[in-house]
Amino acid sequence: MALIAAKRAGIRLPPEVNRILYIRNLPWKISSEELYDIFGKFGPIRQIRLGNAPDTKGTAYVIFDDIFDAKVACEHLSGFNVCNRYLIVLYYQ
Amino acid sequence: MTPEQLRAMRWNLELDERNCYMTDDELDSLFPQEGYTILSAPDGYKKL
Repeated sequence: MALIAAKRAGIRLPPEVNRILYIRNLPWKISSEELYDIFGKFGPIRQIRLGNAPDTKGTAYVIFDDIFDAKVACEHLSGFNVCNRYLIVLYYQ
Repeated sequence: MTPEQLRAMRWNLELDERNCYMTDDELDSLFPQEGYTILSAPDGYKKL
């Protein structure tokens, strides 16, 4: 419904905004339920990919169905505290 | 069609293209092949 509201308003989104968020500084043992819980409240999630290799541990890609949900999630979640670690949320480039 | 309507329509079309559904293999092509696992949604998860 956010998309429909924006359609009427003809809002233009900056080019770097997209549906894929790259998350850093995640606790290593975070579970799927926790990730879906944290990101799910912003909108339907298309897919989540969690890093499991030594160099990708603690990072994840969260893909939303709707570009506006991803934008809201990014704005609200950067600096979000998970087990006293501050999440870094970036748009996937 | 006023210029504003034209501009809004053009933005909406661009928005639709950026927001169109991506299939699994399109997604796979975006990300590094190894190093990431796809998490399965917990059973209680319903798309709101």
